[in-house]
Amino acid sequence: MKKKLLISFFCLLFILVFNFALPRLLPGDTVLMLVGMDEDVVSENEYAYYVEKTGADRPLAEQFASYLRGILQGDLGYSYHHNAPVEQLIAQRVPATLQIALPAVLLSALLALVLGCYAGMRKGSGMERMISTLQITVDAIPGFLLGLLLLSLFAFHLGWFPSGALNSIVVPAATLPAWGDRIWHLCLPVLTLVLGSVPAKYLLVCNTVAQQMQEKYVLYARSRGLSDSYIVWHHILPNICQPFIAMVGMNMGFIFSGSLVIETIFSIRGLGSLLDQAIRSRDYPLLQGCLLVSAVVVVVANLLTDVLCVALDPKVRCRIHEAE
Amino acid sequence: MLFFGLVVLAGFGLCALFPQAIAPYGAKAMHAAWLGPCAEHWLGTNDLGYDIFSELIYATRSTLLIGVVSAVVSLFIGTAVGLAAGYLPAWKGELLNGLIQIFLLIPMLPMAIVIAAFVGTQTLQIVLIIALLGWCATARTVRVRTMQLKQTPFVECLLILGISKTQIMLRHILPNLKELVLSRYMMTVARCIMLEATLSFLGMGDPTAVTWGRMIYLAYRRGGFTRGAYHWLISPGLCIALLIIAFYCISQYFAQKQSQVSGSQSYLD
Amino acid sequence: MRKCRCLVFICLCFVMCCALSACGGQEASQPEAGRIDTFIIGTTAEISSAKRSVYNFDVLTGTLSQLAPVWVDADGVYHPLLCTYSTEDSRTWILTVREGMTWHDGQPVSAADIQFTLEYLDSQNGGGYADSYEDIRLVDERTIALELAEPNPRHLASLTTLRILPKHIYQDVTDDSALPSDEANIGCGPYRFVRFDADAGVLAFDAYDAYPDGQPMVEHVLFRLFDNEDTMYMALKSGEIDMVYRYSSGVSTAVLEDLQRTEQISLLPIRNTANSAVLIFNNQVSPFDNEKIRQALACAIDYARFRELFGSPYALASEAGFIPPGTYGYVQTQTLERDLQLAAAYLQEAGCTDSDDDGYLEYQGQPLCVEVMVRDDKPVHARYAELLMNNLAEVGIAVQIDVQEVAAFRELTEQQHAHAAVITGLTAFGMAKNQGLAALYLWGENSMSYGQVYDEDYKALLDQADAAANMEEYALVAAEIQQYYADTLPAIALFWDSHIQAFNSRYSGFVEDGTFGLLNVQTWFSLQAE
Repeated sequence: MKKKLLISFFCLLFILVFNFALPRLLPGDTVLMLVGMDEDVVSENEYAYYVEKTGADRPLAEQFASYLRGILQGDLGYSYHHNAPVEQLIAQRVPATLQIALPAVLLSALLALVLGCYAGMRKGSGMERMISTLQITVDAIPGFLLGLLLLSLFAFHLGWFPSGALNSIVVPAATLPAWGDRIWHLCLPVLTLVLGSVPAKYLLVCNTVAQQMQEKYVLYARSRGLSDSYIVWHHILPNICQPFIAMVGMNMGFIFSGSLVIETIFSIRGLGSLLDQAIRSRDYPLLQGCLLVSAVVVVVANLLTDVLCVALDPKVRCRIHEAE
Repeated sequence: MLFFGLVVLAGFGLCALFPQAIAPYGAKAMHAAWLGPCAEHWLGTNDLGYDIFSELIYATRSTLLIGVVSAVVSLFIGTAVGLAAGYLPAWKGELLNGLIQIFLLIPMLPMAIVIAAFVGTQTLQIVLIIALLGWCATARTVRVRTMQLKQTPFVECLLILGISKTQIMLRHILPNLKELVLSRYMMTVARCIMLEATLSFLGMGDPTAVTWGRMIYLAYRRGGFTRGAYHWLISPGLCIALLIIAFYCISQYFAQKQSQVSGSQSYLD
Repeated sequence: MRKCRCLVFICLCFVMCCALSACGGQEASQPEAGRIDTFIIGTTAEISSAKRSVYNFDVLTGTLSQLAPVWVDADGVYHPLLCTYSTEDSRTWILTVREGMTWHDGQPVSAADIQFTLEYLDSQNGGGYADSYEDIRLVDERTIALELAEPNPRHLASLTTLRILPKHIYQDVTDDSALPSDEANIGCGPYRFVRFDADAGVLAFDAYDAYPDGQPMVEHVLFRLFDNEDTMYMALKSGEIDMVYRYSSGVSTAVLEDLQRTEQISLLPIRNTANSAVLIFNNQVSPFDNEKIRQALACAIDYARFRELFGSPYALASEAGFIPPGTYGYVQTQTLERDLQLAAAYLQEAGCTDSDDDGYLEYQGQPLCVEVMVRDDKPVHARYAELLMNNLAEVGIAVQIDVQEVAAFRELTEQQHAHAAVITGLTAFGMAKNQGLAALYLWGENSMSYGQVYDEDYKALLDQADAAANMEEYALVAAEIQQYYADTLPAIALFWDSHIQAFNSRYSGFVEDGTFGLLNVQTWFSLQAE
């Protein structure tokens, strides 16, 4: 656990140093890179103002110190394109992104677990082959294309789901219909993310379950006359849940990145559409802020899953006690 | 599985090597724009009147090139780091392992976007970015396998014989990683192609090199979606999917061979 | 007796009829025929919050809740909006706020608000508003006199986008983002700002009851924000939204054909003086310092193909004079057409030969290669360049496309002038800047000069344009400048196009505004639904 914390810390530190160094080390005008502005729109006065604001004329060590101090106080920089602090822009957008990413993480984990156990029990059967082939095929389709196809099919041709945004233009006043409206809008983007992220987890579960089926304890359980599904859910599942949860944690980053790509497709005003704007206008501070926030999300998700693993796994729990 | 993978890969390989011989039209030959699939144009034409089927074939080369080259670079880095992390003793190995763990945590796509925004999106830059971000999964697998091998009696024998560590690493452990590395390589190519396609879709691809990812991007940005020009939108996507499945099949073959030698190894580790 | 009864009956009937018709009249005044409850507009403009400092939001409010003093119609004629105006010498402009104009919080709009706005904008933007006048005088409560240093017959042009701020709200505010949005967005137009819902991507406006011209035809106006253009057009087709809008822009031509085929969508072209697809040479560097080569290129481009692939059905053939019709002072010049033989002849005259038989020409011992720089944020520009490459290959000229990220593009072209040629789009605003007629982009000493023209003759013409005392004189010079362009071809317009607006066919009665297009205050009073 200590090691994990150390690695998480160094990962974030690495991103920080990277963000700090990139505009300052690359050839080109550091000040303009720091503010993400085009030369032609910057007058001399403004340039001087930017120099002062970014402190680009001060020694690097001093800049780094004030940069770190800023980060610790939650200051991620200033977007001159949006005329707003980066942390404020991101804070506005993160909820929307989490609303599609979190359900996607949970649903895809659940789906992968159920499908994986089901197929893992029958490794080698026609059913397992079919499911695996399907998963591998879906995995090979780029996520954004999947999103476009789902949008086209379910929103434009069938009209079952809305074409985008997180709620209708006029939100129902009552709480329950309002929730329903939101969930209805979330269906397609979440489905896209789930489809894209299930295969990797599914294959892990399927292979591990199949492997465990060969183990002796399964043989004993079988000879006691227990049914296969009972064995899977009561004996194998606890054994594989640790690597599975770790995998879900690692997958969080994948889903988060995936949601960034599909948000523009579904007109969801989350971090992804912010990132998309930032790409087009080369709004460097905002891009870097998004990177840092994604890294924090991934790191936190990983730490959480580790804690969860410890809480779930008696072996790990006991060892900690022994060590103490 | 292997057969299917090899056939598909060989097909795409031929397209990449001899596009002129296979494509019915030149890459830049112009016909009427926005045609649907028909006898003359199997996949229709795009906004400039290029034959989409021909363009797909011509784009194979750049797509494969980006995937293959960046995978080679990332494989090289990954194997080197993984080998060193697995073999080097105590803190050195731990340090490298820590490095691998750190890189595994970095969200790849936002990182790639930020670097590409700063350094530009020419093919070379894209290849390097993908390579520099994609090596850590390989490194992790290689490290685990190296540590296993390090415990085996034959390595101990070599040590007793007084053979230097570098030699053991390069001459004796590395050849044993062959299947594993090949299997990893196939998956890395697939992943690199996917990352390139995603970057292209976000408008961060090389604008002068036509890849499948860029074709989807153009189809999307130039109104292929609204016009219902699904043939333009989907066919490059299908090619990507087909190629990735082919790579997966081949990597599965190597992974199986590897697990026959060493017990169990799923491709996901 | 019977007669009497009959008379009473007739009288009664008459009274009844009167009463009925009176009732009818009353009824009609409530839900007037063709009134619209909700009108939904889709836009891809990026709006992050409902603040004046957010450019796209500010522009949208200009069509609804925030008024400028005057508006200009599609023919370039000015009309009163917030104010009536008068001038005697084109130097002193008198603006009078129209009777009954109030802010959405009930305060009357006064001349002091106009003066305050000019001063406030100066303090926010570092000048260019109040300080562009020699004198600003408040004549009475509702009248202000703006005095210019020199007469300018076109002065009202700068007042069409000057959205007047309420002084009583902004007078002590330096940072307008600190104001709560319902207060900051108080305007004086026929609609008032209601809410911005970021999750739904919706901007809402409601009709303002106390607007002096009466009730507009639409009760609620909603903007639905789209990140993705395709989704927006799909929504238009499905009837989810009633029209699409983007300031100074039209429907992208790639989807035009599809929209045309859709029955319930109407398309309307509106005036466009932007030059949205141009090839500009760096006239200082080889080979483009050679006029023959420029002529050859102009003859080698397949203009019809450009219009077919990229233009709308309303696209016009471009002319050698470079300035699109609709611009003040436009004169017709020779239409640009493809003529490969002529191009070959020009190339031969310029001394180009294919000595190594590779199918590409050499010029002065070097391969003749046109390096075209384009920016990467407009994918269509690279497509133009690609077509150009195919066109020029047919006369043996190689084209190299150099795609640069926007900042680098600007640096390389506008600052360092390191480009050989660029394909880009020029905005209407830029085309009209300085002496107008694209002088900003062509005259070598200007900061944004892509053209790098340093010709003395050109300079003399620009000086004449500067010296023009009235619009007639200016038009005479403008004609000469266009003839100069046609003769020397420092830049080539690939095609000219209108901005095509798309809306649901249920609606009619749109008024075209020279600044805002179809969305404007006039439209809200004339819009009809079937």
